[in-house]
Amino acid sequence: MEVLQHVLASLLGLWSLYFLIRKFVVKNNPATQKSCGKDCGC
Amino acid sequence: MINNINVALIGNPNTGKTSVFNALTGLNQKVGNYPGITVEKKQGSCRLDRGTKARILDLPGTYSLNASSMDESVVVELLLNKNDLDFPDVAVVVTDVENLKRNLLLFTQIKDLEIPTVLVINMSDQMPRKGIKIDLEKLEEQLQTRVILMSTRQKTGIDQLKQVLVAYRKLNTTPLFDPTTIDESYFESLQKAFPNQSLYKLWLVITQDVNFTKLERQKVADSTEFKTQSKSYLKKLQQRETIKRYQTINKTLKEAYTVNREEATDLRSKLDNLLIHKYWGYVIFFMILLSIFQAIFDWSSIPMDFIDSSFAQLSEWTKQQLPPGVFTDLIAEGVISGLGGIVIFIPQIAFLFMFISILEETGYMSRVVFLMDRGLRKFGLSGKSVVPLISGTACAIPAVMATRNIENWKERLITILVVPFTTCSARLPVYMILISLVIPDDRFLGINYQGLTLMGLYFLGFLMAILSASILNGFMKTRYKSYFVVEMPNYKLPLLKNVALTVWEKTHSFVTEAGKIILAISVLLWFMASFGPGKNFANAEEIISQQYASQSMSKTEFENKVASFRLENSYIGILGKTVAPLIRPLGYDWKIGIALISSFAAREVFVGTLATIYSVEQDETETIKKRMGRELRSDGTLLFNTATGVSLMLFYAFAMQCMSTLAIVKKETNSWKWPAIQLFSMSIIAYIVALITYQILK
Repeated sequence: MEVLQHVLASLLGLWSLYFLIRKFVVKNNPATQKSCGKDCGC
Repeated sequence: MINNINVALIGNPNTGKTSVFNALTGLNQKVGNYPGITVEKKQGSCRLDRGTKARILDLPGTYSLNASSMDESVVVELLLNKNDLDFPDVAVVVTDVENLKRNLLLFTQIKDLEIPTVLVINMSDQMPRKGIKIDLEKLEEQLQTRVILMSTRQKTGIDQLKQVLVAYRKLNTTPLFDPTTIDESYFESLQKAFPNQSLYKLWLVITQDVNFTKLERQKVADSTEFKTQSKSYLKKLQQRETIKRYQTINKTLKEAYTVNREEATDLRSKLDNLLIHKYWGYVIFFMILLSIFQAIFDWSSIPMDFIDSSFAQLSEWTKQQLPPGVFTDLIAEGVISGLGGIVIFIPQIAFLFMFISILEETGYMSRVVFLMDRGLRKFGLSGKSVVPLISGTACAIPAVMATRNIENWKERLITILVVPFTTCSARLPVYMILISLVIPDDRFLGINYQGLTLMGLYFLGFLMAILSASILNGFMKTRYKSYFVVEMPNYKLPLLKNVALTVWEKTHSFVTEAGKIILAISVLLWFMASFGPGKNFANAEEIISQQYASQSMSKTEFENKVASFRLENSYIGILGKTVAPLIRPLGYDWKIGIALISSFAAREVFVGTLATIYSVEQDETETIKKRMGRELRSDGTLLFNTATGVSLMLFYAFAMQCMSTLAIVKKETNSWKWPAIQLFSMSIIAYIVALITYQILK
C-alpha cells in the first residue's frame, strides 16, 4: 500500500511538472509573422 | 417610346432601404436569387413620368465596397461590370439620418466609380426629435450631387426622388476622393501602367478580386510597369483609404450637419444626454461601479465562506477515509487546498461578469467606451486603445491581442506595454482575500469600506495605465493617431440567456484555465514543502524535543512546532528564506515570498500557495481566511496587518506577475526586449510602492 501511495504521488507530481513546462514554453505563432504596422521592425 | 433606366438602391443595413424600395415599386416587385449564390435579389419597376420607366434593384446592405461577405461582393461586382444587364444608370444611396457619418463612407466610394449617384437621407422625420439640423445646400455643394430628405413613414421625399431620377443625366459624376492621397508613389505607378482607367476602379480590381471590363486582377498583377504589393500592405492601404475618407466626411458634416443633443426629445437622446455628459457621465459611471463593487462583496461573502469551510472539511474527511500515506497527504493538503483556492473565487468572478454583461447588453458599455475615449485622448492614447484597456479588466492576454487593430506601431506598443496595469480578474482573488483580512467590514453612509477599497484598486490600475501611457508617449513621440469609430446601439433590456452564457463562459474558463495551473503548482509546492535536504528536516522531532525539553506542551502544540520546523527546512522553506531578506522591508515573511514566486505563473496562485503552505503546517479543518488571519510574525504580532495587507495589494496592482502575459507580449512584439522592459519596470514600480506603503503604515 505504501509503495502504491508513493507511485501515485510521483505520477501526480510528474504530471504537474510536465503540464507547467508545456504551458509556459513559448510556441512560435504564425499570427506574429504578419506585419505589426507602421514603423514595425518585423 | 418609353425610356427604361436601371436604378440601384444601395445602402448600409438598417437604413430603411427596403422601405424606399417598397415606396417606389408598390406591388410591382419580385424576389429571386443571384445566379449560383443564395443572396436574395429584389427587383421592381416604377413609372417615373410619362416617358420614363425605372427598373429598381434593391441591392444587399453593405457598409462599404471593401467586401468581406458574399452579399457585399454582389454589390461590388455589379457596380464594376458595365456589361451586366442590371448595371445601374443611376445609383441611389439610402442613408439613415442618425448615422449619416458612417453611411457616407459607402456613398463616397460609389460616387468615385463615376456612376450618377443620388443621396437619400431617410428617416428625416426623426430630425426634430434627435436635435439634428442639415444644411442641404451646403451638403449638396460638398458632395457634388443631389441630396433628398425622405421619410417613408410620412411618405415625404418620394416624388422628389422620382424627379431627380428622371433627370439623372444632369448629376455630377466627378469623383470626390483622390486615391493618390493614400499612397502617392503606389497610385502614380498604377496610373502610369493603366493611363486610361479610373484609379479607384483599378484599386477595387486589385483589392476586391473582381473583374472590371476586360481588366482582370491577374493582368494588373502581371503588368511590368506596376507591382502589386503583399496582402497585408494592401490591407493597410485600405485602412488608410477609410481614414482619409472619414477625414473628408468629417469636414463635410462639420459644415452641413449639426446635432444639438440638448434640443433632442426622444428617450434615447435624453438618456445619452445624461450618460455621456461631460461631467455627469463620469459621475454616473462612478456610481454604477461603486454599486457593482459593493454588491460583489455583499452578495458573495456567504457563498465564499460556505465554499471555504466545505473544502476545509473535505480535506479532513479525505484524510480520515483514505489509508495513511504520501498520496493521501498530497490529496488532502496539496490538491484539495489548492482546489479550494480556485473554487472560493467563483462567486465573485460570476457576479463581476454578470454585472459587466448586463452593462454590455443594455448598450451602456458603448457609452463608457465613448466617455473613456474622450478622457484618454488627453493622455496621448487614442480611441482604439480603449477597447484593449477595458477588456484588460477581464484578462491582459486577449487585451494585448486586441491591440492588433491599432495600425500605428508605436501607439500599439504603448497600449501593449500599459495594458497589464489594468486590474485583471486574476488579481481579484488576491484583492478579495487581503481586503477581507485587513479592511474593516464597516459602512459609512451605507457604503462598505471593503467594496470601496476594491473599486479604488481598479481605478488605481487604470490611472497607472494612463499615466504610463502619457510618459511613454512623451518618449516615443507618436505623431499619428488612429481613428476610432463606435456605433452607439439602442438601449434595451438585457437578455437573461446572454447574461447567463457570459457568466458561465467566464467562470468556466477561470476554473479550467487558471484551475489547472493552480492545481499543478499546488502539487509541486506540496512536494517541495513536504520534503527537504539535510539532517534538520529528517530529525525535526528530535530537535524540537531537545529545544523544548524544559517546557511542557500539549501533543497538538508539539506537532505544530515540528510541522513548522520541517516547513522551514523543506526545499520550499529554503527557497523562501533565500528571498526573505529582499522582501522583509516590504513587511513580508518567507512564506509570502514563496507565494510571490509561485504566483509569477499566475497571480491567483498566491492564495492557493498560502493555503497549501499553511495546510502542510497546520490543522486542515481551518479555512484559508482563518489560517491567514491567525499567522504571526516571530515577534508575536499579526502577519497580515493593515500595513502588510495594503503593501501586498499595491504590489499586486503594479507588478507584472503573469508569465502568460509576458509570453503573449513576446509573441505580439516579436522580441524579448519589450516583455523584459515591461517585467523590469513594473517590478521596480511595484517594489518601491509596496516598500513606501509598508514603511508609512507600519
